[in-house]
Amino acid sequence: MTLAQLQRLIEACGSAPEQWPPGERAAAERLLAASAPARGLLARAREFDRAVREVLQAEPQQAEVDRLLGALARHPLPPQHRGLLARSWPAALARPDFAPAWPRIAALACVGALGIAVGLSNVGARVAYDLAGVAASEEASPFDADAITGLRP
Amino acid sequence: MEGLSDQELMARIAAGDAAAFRILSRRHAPRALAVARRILGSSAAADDVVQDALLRVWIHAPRWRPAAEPRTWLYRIVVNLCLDEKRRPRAAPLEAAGDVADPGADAAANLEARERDHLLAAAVAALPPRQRAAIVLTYQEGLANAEAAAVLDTSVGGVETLLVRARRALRAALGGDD
Repeated sequence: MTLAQLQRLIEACGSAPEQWPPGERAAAERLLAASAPARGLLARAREFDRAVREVLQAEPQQAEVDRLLGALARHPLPPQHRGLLARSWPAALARPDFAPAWPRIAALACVGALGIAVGLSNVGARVAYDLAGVAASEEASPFDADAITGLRP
Repeated sequence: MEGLSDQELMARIAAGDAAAFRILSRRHAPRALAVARRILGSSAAADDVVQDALLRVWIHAPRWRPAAEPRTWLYRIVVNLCLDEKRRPRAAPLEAAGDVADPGADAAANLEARERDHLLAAAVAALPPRQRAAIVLTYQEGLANAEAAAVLDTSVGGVETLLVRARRALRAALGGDD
């Protein structure tokens, strides 16, 4: 890291190293350890940050905050904006929380997808064809000899 | 109810709980007021903006999602209202330089430091509104760049650009060149 890069880093992220991105922080700290001008740059940036912070630290008086909150409390609160669903449906239906049900919804979706895949793969038709073939062959010789006795009815 | 977190209060506000809204308002109004005052440079306008922002929190609470930090959401509304206010054409307020923090007894003796503080306060007041908002959120509210980016509805890189420009302008106002 160069001195100019350190200056850019300080201008973008401030003079506190904990606010610097980790990758750049390591390089900046190496530069700071090795370079006196870099340390001078950081010291001046810290002084600048402290001065700005001091100038901006004015707090509103509690009385001013109380006045603001009092003015807010004097009027009734306006109606909240709710969606059409929330206005016409019970709250529990208008604000559904699906999070606990996601595993079951996913399982149902998987089963549905499997059903569609089986339907498209022609497996069912082949099974039906085979069963029909078996039935036909059984119908062709309904009076086969008994496998044990060899007798026909 | 005072012990509830901001998230828990927001959940109640979303359900229409006015008491929770009053607690959240009391909790965050002082900082919101400080931010608005510094960006606007006017106490009266800041009061109006913060009142408006708090009412918007109440009105739009049903649309709030727990992923959003309530404080960041409020700051975002306040900053947006301030920027809208600054865009309106009007005469510059007399108190545009904002309030300078009381430097205390020690610093009161140090005229150089007081002069520097006045210069800085004036330079902050003279920054373009978004740069000023970035400086206020960073220095006054202590927000990290990522949080400031969420408030300003921009990227971290966008906030860094705003801060680089603002810091250069403030240094230039102080007569520094590094």
